[in-house]
Amino acid sequence: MVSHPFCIASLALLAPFVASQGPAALSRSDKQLKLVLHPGPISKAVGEQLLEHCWQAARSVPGFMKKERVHIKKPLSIEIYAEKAAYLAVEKERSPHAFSGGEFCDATNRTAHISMLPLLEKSYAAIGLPPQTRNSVVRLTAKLVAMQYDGCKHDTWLADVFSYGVLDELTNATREWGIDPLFDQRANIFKARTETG
Amino acid sequence: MLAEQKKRGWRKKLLKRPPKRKKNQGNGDVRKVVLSRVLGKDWAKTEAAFARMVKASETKWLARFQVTGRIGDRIVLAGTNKDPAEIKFTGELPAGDFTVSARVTLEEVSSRKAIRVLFTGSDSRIRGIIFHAGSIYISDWRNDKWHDVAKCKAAIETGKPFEFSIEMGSSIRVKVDGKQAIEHQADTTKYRTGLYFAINDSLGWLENIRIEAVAPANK
Repeated sequence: MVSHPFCIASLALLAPFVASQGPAALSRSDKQLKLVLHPGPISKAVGEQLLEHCWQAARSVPGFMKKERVHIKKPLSIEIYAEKAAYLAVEKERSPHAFSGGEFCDATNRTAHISMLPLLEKSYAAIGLPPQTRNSVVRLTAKLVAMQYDGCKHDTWLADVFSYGVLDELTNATREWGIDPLFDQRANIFKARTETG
Repeated sequence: MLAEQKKRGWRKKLLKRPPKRKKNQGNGDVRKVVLSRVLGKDWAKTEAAFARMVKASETKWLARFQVTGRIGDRIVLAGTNKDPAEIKFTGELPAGDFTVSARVTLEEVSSRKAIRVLFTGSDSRIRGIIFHAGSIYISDWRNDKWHDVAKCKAAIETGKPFEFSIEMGSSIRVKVDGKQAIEHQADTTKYRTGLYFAINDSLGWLENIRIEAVAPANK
């Protein structure tokens, strides 16, 4: 059957289509959130580990905001890219910003896109999700939630203020200095601006 | 940051419908009204409180290059060959002799397995104390490469935590797990402008980082 000329020609036509797909995306979802990890060259086993860490990071946000009865009104999507080229292609098409930033929110489609920081495969296996990427997942999930409310719907700056507040409370609620370079970093920016005016 | 200082409920207040924009009101005006719900209406008081908070913040680290951050109770540094990971100490280095100490674990993620402690000087000089699996190097960074000035063997293994201390005094004295590993004569006063931890193509965990002045010896 396969040796029939028609079958061979059909298979030949399909080959470039199959080759261009790349590694399959990994995903996880529930009624409120959908998370997609585009793993690029990362192995499936490490990809599954990273997906689980991303999921925990994203799910920490609605759980945290439930206490104040702030809810996810419509389902949100978070897409994370292990390969920078794949992220840049999406950013070029959909980012509302004029600059390339490594992450952005597409409010129209209620989706955040995040470029994961590059690491050796064994480093991913040892540490899981890079802390900066974890922070991005938490912060942009919070930002997307904020953008569903009247207070921030038409002002992404306020949505950013909201999202950084959530991030700081989730990552360092007691505001302890010197234990997390990324937390200190945010204050360093304010210090520098205060000094320069 | 300031929102966390105030009473709970800031999230709900920030998300409420903003007031209708008045004629001649810009984005900044509307934002002030929204933020006033959480921070209060006295903006002079808010700005003063913010300035005090920023001044009082005792930040210690600048994340210069990723990947770094906190995982559990440890700071991680993870770099590739192309992308280093680096943090800079932003506190004040002691005026006289001092010691830098920490507990480090190097992971086996590539053939490199090393972490650098860097001291910089005012004339762009950089001296590195580089802890490798099995050895320690004292090196200078010049013309885009490391030039070794001293080295020794050391009981450092991947996956096994070790305590190091580097005393910057009349010489550079390096200890591993309490035992002296190497001493190198140097004018350490030339390396007092900056302190960094850096990694390339490796992964390291840092705990209990201490920078302590060394009490002068009694005459």
